[in-house]
Amino acid sequence: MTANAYRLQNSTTLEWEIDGETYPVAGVTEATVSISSSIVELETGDSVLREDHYHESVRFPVAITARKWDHEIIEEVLGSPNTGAFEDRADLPPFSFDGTFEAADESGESVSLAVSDIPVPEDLPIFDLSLGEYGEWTIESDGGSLDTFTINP
Amino acid sequence: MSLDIDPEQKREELIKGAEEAEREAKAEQAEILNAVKNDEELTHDSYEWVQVGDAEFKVSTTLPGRVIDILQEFDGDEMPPMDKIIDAASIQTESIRTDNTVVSDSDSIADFWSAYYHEYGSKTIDVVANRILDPAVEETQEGVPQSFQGQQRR
Repeated sequence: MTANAYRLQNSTTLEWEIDGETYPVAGVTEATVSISSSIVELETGDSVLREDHYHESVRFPVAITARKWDHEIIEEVLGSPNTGAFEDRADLPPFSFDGTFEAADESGESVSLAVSDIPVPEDLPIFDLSLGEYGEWTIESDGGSLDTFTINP
Repeated sequence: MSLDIDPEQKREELIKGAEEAEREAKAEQAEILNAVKNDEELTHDSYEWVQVGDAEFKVSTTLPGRVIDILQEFDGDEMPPMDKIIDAASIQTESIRTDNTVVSDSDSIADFWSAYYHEYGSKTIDVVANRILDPAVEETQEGVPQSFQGQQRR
């Protein structure tokens, strides 16, 4: 099985879904998703859903560089620093993001994809990042779930 | 939980902020690189002219890491894919001149190497690219003490 790397073409946002609402958490300028499957043999215009091609447990490595975090939303989700809520990370919602990506193999192939269920790492200094004007933090995750994958014309 | 925010507006703010942060980070990196280049003991920019037919190629005599990575990745019996050879040759080429023409922007140089490959094929471009890379490879080998064998990047 081959792995194809796809690099983010335009900036996007990491998001949290909370109570059915989607909230942008951080601005992302770089991201790579490595996809292993015959899915890459699909043709232009094809669009697939995870359920059609993958078992739910299949996950894809993602690397994300987020540079700007939103203090308002993070504080709302995590609570105030004075409450100590920032120490409890177990229930943090996973990140998701979507965007337009380009194949890293110089084939020029462009795809639109959405990745969800990216766990928030234990060592993410999320509060420090949100307080600073800018903060660079790269997720080297063992996986996110591919929700949609569409080959662009 | 219900946040009184406009997700679309927030998304735009975050993307704008992230792009500004990236620009700042790159500017800082460029400033540091330029500061390091001022060290008199180190040679960062040096060139040599290489004759190919009636054209002259101004080529770098230093190997940047991205070219070293290409060379090391395919060190040994395996020949690098042609796009990698073209990448390496493009990076090493500073300008190309003939009696009537000078090409010195990176896009035009990359276009030249691609066109050359499409016109004459892999065997010819392999020979020419090696000639373009030779000054930097030789300079690099001369500059490395025998006691230092280096470590191949994995």
